[in-house]
Amino acid sequence: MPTAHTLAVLVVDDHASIRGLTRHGLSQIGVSDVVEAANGTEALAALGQKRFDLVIADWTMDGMDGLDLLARLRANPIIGRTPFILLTARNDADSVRTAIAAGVNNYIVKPFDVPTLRSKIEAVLGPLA
Amino acid sequence: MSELDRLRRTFFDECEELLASLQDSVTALAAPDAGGQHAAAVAAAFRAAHSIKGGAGAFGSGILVEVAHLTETVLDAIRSGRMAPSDALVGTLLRAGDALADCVSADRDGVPPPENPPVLAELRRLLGTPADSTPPAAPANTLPDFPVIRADTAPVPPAPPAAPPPRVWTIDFAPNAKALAAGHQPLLVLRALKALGPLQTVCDSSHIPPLDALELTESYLRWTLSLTTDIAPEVVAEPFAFVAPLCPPQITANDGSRIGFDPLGVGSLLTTDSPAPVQEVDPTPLPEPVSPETDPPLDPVRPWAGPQQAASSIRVDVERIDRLVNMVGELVITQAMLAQQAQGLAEDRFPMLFQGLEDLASHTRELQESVMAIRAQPVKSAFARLPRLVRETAQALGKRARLILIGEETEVDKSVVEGLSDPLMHLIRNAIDHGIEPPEERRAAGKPEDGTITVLAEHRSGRIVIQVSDDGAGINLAAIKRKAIEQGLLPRGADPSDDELYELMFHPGFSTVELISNISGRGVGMDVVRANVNALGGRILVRSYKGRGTAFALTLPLTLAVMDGMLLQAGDETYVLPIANILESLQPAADAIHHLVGRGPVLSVRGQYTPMVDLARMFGHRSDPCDPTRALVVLCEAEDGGKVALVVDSLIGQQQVVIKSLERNYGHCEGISAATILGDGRVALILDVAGLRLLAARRHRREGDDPHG
Repeated sequence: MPTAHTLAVLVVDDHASIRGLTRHGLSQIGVSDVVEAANGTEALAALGQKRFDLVIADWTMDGMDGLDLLARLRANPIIGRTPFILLTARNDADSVRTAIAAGVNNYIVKPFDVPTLRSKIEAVLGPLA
Repeated sequence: MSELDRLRRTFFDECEELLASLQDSVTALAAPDAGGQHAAAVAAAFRAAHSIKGGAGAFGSGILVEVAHLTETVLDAIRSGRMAPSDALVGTLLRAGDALADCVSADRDGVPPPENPPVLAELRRLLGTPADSTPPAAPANTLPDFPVIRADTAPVPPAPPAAPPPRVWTIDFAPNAKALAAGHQPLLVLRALKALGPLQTVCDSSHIPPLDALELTESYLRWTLSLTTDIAPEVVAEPFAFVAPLCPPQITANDGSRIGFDPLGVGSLLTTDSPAPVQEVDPTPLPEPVSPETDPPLDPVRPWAGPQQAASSIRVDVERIDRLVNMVGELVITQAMLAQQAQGLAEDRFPMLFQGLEDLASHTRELQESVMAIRAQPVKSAFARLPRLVRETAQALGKRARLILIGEETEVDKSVVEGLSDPLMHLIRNAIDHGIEPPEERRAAGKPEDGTITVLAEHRSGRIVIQVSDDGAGINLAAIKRKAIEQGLLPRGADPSDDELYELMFHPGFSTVELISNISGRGVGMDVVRANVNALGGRILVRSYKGRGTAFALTLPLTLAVMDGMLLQAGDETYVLPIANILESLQPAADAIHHLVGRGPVLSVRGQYTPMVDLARMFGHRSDPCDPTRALVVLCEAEDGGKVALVVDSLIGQQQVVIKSLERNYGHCEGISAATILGDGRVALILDVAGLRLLAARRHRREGDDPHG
C-alpha cells in the first residue's frame, strides 16, 4: 500500500494555474513531493533525473501533447511503466476512447475536486495510507 | 493571500495571454490562407479556448466556461473541416473572444459576469444546439456512456433502478506483459472487483517458469474469477476499462450475457487488439533515470523534435526584477565611484588596476543592458485591446475602420508598456470619432469606405516612437481657432501659427469645455493624453493634412530606470538635466537679454523670446544674480513643448544616471523630477524642465518687477 507522503508525482501542464491547483490538491491528500513541468520537453527532462511514482499530465499542450509524452514514456524500458493519469478538459466520448487506446492509466476531467483526484490516484496506485 | 487566491490570479494572468492569442489566431483566419497558416491558427485558437475552459471550471464562472466551451466546439468544427471559416464566422469568433474577455475581467474583479452575452445564441445557432439543450457547462467529473469515470464520483456503485436477480459473472483475466509495462496493477483490478460483490478467485500459476528463466517484466499469472452481483454490467466492466485495450478479459454471465470492450460500448466485443492511435513516436528511448550505482547521465534529454519548439520561459515576480534593477543601479554608481577615485592614480604604476576597472565598466554596462532587457516587453500587450476597440467604436459610430498594427514586437520597459495603454486607446477612439469620416462621405471624397488606422512602434535613436495615424479628414485648424476664440483661449483677431493651434488641442480648457463631435477638430481629453505621456517622460507631436489624415507621434524613453543626463554646475551644486530636454547651449550677448515687467528676464534667440531661469538663485544657492553673458545658458524644451533658458555656471559632462525616485523616498519637489547618485557618492537632483518653467513664472509674478528675477 503506497504511502502518500513518500510518493513522487510529476505534474505536467502548460498553465501554472492548473499545475498549482494540482499540486494544491495533491498536498491535501498528503503528497508533497511534486515536480512541475510546463511542457513535454521539461517533463522528459524531469523523468530523466528522478524516479516518479506517477505522472499527471495535461493533454492539450503546444508542441508535444500529453499523449505524445505518454508514448515517449512508454517507449522507455526503464521507467516506461510509470503510471500516467491524463488531466484534461476534454470529456467527449471520442477523446476518452483515444486516450484509453493510447494507454493512459486513468483519466481526470477538469475541473476536478480533491476526492476525485484521490480516487483516481488510488485506482492506479492502490489505496493511499 | 491564500494559495488558491494566488492561483486564481495566475489563472487570470494566463487568460490575458490566452485571449490575446485567441484574438491573433482568429484575426489570422480572416486573411486568405496563403501558406496553409489557417490550420496552425485554428489549432492555436482551439488550444487557447480549451485552456480557458479548463481553468475556468476551477477559477471562473459558469458563463465563462460555457462561452469557452462553445467557442472551443466551433473551433473544433473548423479544425475538423465541418465548418469553413467565413467572414461571418470570424466575426462571431471575435465577438466570442470579446465576451470571454468580459467574463474574465468580471470574474477577476469579483463582479457578476454578463448574464447572457448575445454571442452565446450565435454560437449555439452555428452549432445547431437549442439554447436549453446546451450540455452543462461545467460538467462534474462524469462522462455519459462511459462507466469508469462515473465510478469515482460515486465510489459505491449506484444501485440499478429495478433490482434484477443477481448474476454470476465468470471473468477470465490474463494480464500480459504489455499491461504491466503500461503501469497497470492486476491486484488493484481484483480489489475493485471484490468491492462489487462476493468474489471467488482462482489463480492459474502453472505458467510460472523456473526461477532462472523468470523474466521480471513478463506476466505469468492468469485468473478465473467468479463474481456474484446484481449490479449493472457496465459497473462490472469498470475496473477493466483502462487495461482492457491491452489484455481484454472474457466476461460472461450465467444468463448468457457477455461484456466486450470497446471502451464506449459496453456489450460489443472488441475484436482485435487495435494499435493505439498515437502519433509517430521516435523509437529512441529516454535516457535512463539516475540510479544510485551509475554515474548520473546529467546531459539533458534530447529536445523534442516536434513541429514547434516551445519557447522556454519562466514567470518571475516583477518585484524580484525591480530588486535586481536596483542593485544594478547601485553597481553602476559604485563603478562610477571607483573610476573617479582612480583618476588621481598613475596609470603606468597600476596597469592591472586600470585594466580591471575598464573591464568592470564594460561588464557593468552589459549587465545593466541585460537586466533592462528582462524588464523589456513587446509593446504588443498595449496593442492587444486595440482591435476590439476599433471594431466596437466604429460600430457604435456607424463608421467603417480597419486597424493595421506594425512593430508589435518592439520592446520597451514594462512600465512604459503599461502606461501606453490608456493614451493609445484615447487616440484611437478620437481617430475614429473625429478623424475617420462616415462611409458615404469617404466615398464622395474618392476614398475607400473603410478608414485605416495605423499604429506603428519602432525604436529611434534610443527612444521608442509610437505613431497613431488615420486616413481621415484631418484636423480642421479653422474650427479649432474659432472654438478657441469663442472660449477665450485666443484673443479675437489673433493670428496663431499651425503649431500653436495644434498646441491648443492639448489645452485643458479647450478639451473640457464640451464634447466636440460635429467639427473634425479633436479635443476630447487630449490634455489627459499628454499628461499621461509626459508622466512617462515622453512627448507627443501632431501632424495633420486636410483631407488626408492625422498622425500623432509619441516619443518615449525606453526605460524609466536609467537616463542620459548632462551634469551642470550651479553655485556649489551639481544638477542633472535630461539630455532629451536640451536644445542647445550658448553664451548670450548682452543685447539678447531683455527684461519684461512681471515676467523676469527673457532671452532672445533667433527672434524667439524664452524666459530665463538662474538655477543657483532659484534654488537659493546664491543670492546675487550671476551675469548670463559670462555664464552659460542652456536652452531647454520641456515635454509639453514649453521652452526655458537655464543660466548655469558650467557644463560638467554627459553621463548615464540611475534614476532614484524622490517622491518615494522624500516627497514631491517642484522643479525636480528625481535624484541620482554621482560617482563621488554625492546626491544630485534631476531637473524637471516643465516644473522649472512654472516655478519661475510664478516667482516672477510674485516678485513683480525685480529686474534680475
